[in-house]
Amino acid sequence: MNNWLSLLGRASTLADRWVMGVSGLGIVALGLTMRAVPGSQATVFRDNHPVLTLPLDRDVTTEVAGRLGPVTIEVRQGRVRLLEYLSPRMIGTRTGWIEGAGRMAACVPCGILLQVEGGRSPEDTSEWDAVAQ
Amino acid sequence: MKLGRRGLFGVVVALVGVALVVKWVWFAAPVAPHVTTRLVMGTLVTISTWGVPEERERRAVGMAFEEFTRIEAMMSRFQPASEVTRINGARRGEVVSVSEELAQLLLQGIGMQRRSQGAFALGLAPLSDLWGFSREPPPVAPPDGQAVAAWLRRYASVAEAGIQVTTAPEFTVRLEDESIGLDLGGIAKGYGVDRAVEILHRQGVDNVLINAGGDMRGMGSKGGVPWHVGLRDPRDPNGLVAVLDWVDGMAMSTSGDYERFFMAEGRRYHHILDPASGDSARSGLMSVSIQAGDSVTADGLSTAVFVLGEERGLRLLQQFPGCEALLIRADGTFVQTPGFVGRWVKTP
Repeated sequence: MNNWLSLLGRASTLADRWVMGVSGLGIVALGLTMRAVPGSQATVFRDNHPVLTLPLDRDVTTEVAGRLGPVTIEVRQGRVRLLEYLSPRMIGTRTGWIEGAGRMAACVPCGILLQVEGGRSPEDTSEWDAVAQ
Repeated sequence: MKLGRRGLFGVVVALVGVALVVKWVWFAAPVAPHVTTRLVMGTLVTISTWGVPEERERRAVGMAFEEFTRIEAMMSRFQPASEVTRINGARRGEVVSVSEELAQLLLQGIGMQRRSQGAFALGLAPLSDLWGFSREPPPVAPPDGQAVAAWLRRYASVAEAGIQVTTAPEFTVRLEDESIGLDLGGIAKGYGVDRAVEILHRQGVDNVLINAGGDMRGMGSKGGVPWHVGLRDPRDPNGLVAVLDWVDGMAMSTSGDYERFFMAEGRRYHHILDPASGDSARSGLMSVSIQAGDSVTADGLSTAVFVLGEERGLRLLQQFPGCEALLIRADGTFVQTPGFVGRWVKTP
C-alpha cells in the first residue's frame, strides 16, 4: 500500500492529485445515484381523495377517519405503516412497514390507502410489476 | 515512468468515462412504468402503463378507473342504487327490466354456471350473507348449521333455473326463489378489467398491466421487456411460488383460500363457497390461477376450478380451449397445465 502511495506521489503533481480526488468524489456520487430514491413523505387517501401528508423524517403517530372508525398511522425512522383494525381484509396489517417511493399499504374496508410519494426509481429493477394475489 | 499532468488527467477522464458507460449501459433500465392505484370494487386496483405521454396517460387511466366505478355502481349488491340491488330487492318471480350490459354479463355467467355444473354460481348472495364474509367486522365462526341446511334444501330445488334472463323483446331478469340472490363477486371484477383494457386501448395506451385484486390482464410490454409478475404464496404473504413474463393480451385470475378467511377449531373457513355443500369449498386446493384470453372467463373459471378440485376442475378446463391453469394443492405441491405461462420458483 505504502509503495503504491509512494509511486503515486512520485508520478503526479499536487494538481494531478487534486483532479484525481475530485474525480473520485464524482464516481462515488454516480454510485449513489444508482440507489433507489427513498420517499420523503407519504400521502394518506380516504376513498381515493388525499386527506393527509406525513413527512417521513419525523417520527409521529396519528389517526385518520376511516369508514369504520379511526385508523392509526405510524411513522418511524423513515418508514410508515397502518395499524389496527385486525381484519383479514385489511391488507395494511399484512403489509407492515413500507418505505421507498411508490410503496403502498391499504385498509380496504376502511377505504384508506397509504402511499409513499414518488414513482418507482428507474433503477429499481428488483421489483415485480405486479403480484397476483 | 512519470505520467505527467496531461497523462494523469487523461487517465482520470477515462476512468470517469468508464463509470458513466457502466451506469448508462450496464445498469441501464428501461423507463419505469407509471403506476396508479385506487380503491374500487372493494379491492385495490393498480394500473401500470409504459411509454405513454403523461397527459394522455393521466386522462386514459382516469377513464379506466371511472369505468371500474361505473361497473361497481351497476353490479355491486352493496350499492343501494345498483341494478343488482334492485333485482335482489324485487319480489321473487317478478320480472325486472335491466340494461343490456348486465343481461349479457349474466348470460355469460349462467353459461359458466351450466358448464361447471353449478360449481360457479351467480345466485349465492343469501348463502354469502349467512357466512358474512362481506360484513365488518368479519366472521369468526361458521353460521348456524340448520340455517345453511335450510338454504341448501331450497337452493337445490331451483339452482340452475333460479335466474331467468331474457334479451327479447326487452332485457329482463327474474329470480325464482328466496334462496337465490345475485352476487357477481365471481365475475364483475373480471368484467371491469376487460372493460378498462378496452378503454385504455381506445385511448392509445397499448402497454398496460392491470391488477384488480387477483384479476389481471396485460397488453404490450415495457419497450420490449415483458411485464414481470409474481404469484403469491398462499401461506406466506411475502413469498412467491411462481413468476412469469406476461404474454401480450393474456388475462389471469387467482382464487384462493387466503384472502378472506377465519380459523375456528383448527379449520380454515374461507369466502369461496361451494353451492353443493353450503360450506367453504374443500376440494383439496388452496389456490387456483387461470390464464385465458379475457378476464371474465379467467375470473369465473378460477372460482369453478377451485370449487371442483383438481380432477373435475381440470376436466372442466378442457372445455375452454386456450385456457391454462396452475393449481396449488393443500399440501403445497402443485400441478400446472402444459401451456401455463410461468415458472415455479418455491423450493420445498
